[in-house]
Amino acid sequence: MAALPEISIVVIAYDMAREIPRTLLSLSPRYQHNCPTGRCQIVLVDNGSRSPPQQAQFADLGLDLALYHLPKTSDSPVEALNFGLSKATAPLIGVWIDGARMASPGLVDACARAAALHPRSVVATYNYHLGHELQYFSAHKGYNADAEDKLLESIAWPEDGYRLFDISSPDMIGGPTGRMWESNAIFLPQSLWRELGGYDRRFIGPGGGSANHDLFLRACGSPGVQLIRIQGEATFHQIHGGVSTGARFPGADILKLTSRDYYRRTGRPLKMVHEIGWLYDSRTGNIDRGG
Amino acid sequence: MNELHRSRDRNTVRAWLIKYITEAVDVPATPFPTGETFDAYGFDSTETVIMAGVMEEEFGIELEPALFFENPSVDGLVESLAKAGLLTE
Repeated sequence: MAALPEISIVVIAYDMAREIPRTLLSLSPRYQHNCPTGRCQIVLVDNGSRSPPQQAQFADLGLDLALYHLPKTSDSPVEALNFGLSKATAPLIGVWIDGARMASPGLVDACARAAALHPRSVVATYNYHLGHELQYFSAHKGYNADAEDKLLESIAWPEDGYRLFDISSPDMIGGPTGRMWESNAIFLPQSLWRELGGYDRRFIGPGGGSANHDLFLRACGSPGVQLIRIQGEATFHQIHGGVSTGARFPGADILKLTSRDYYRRTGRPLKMVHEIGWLYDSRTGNIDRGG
Repeated sequence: MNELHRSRDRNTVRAWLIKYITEAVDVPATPFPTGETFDAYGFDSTETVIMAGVMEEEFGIELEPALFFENPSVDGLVESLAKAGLLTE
C-alpha cells in the first residue's frame, strides 16, 4: 500500500485552460523545492468547465494528481472546495480557491515546515498579482493574457520561479505584517478543516463571494490556533476574467461588494485579521514569534 | 427603501455611523469626534469601504466609495449624503 502523502493541495478550476497548466507545473516536483513525488497530493476539482482539463495533459509533471470533474451547478466554488477537501487524504491540507494562482518554488515545503511548528497552525501565504499593478486596475488599462504571457517569457519562467516577484504586485494592506483578510493558498491541519466544516455553503455568489475571507476569519478565530505567515513565498494570480480581478469594478468597488456580500450572508461586518502571528522565513527557516 | 431597511433620516444615519465606527475601532462614542477625519482615530480607507458595503445593505442605497474619500468624517459624510439626495429629512 502506498504511503499517505504529507500534504494535500486542493485546487479549484473553472474555464482555466490557459492558467491551470502553469499552476500545476508550479506545484509539481519539477518546480517545487524538496517536494518529491509522493510528498504532496494534488486534488484538482474542475467545477464544470466547458473544456475541462484531462489527466493526460499533466502526465509529465510527476504529480500525484487526483482529478475530479463536477457538473456546473452554480457560479460558486464552495461546493467544489468542500468536495475537494473530502478527497484530500494528507494530515496537512492546502487550498487554492482560485486555480489561476502559480506558486513560488519553495511555497509547499515552507508551508509544511511552518505547519509542523504548531499543532493547530493556520499557515497563510501572501497574494500577488502578475503585472506591475494589481489586476483590479491593470485590467482596465490593457493588461491581458497576451501581455502576461510576454511578461512570463521575459523572466524565462519557470527557470527561476522566484523571479515572479520581479514582475508582480503584492495584494496586501500595510505590508507583510499588516492586516490580512484572506490567503489564496492557506494550509491547515486536516482536523482543523473538519472542525471548521470546510467552506460555508451560504456563500453562493460568483467566485464564492467572501467565502475565502469567511474561512480565514473563522480559522484565525478558532480556539488555540496559531497564525503563521510565510515570508519569501507567495502565489501569483494569472489574469483570467475571474470574478475579482477581471471584474467591472476595480479596487474599492470590489471591496465594497465583498463587504456587502459578507454582511448579507452573516449579519456581521467583514473584519480583517489584525494579528500578526508568527512570521516564518522560508529561506532561512527562522521563525519570528513576535514580542 | 423597504421595511427591512433603516430610515435614512440624518439623525439615524449619523447615529448608525457612530455606532459602527466605535465598534470597529477604539474611539469613544461620547463625545464622538464627528468633525475629525476617519483616519485620525485609526479608521482607515479599507475599513471605510467595508462600512460603505454594510451601509448599502442596512439603508438600501447605493454608495459611491468616492463619497467616503472626499468627505472622510461623520459630519462630512452625512452632509455629502444629504447633498446627493440620499437622506430623507
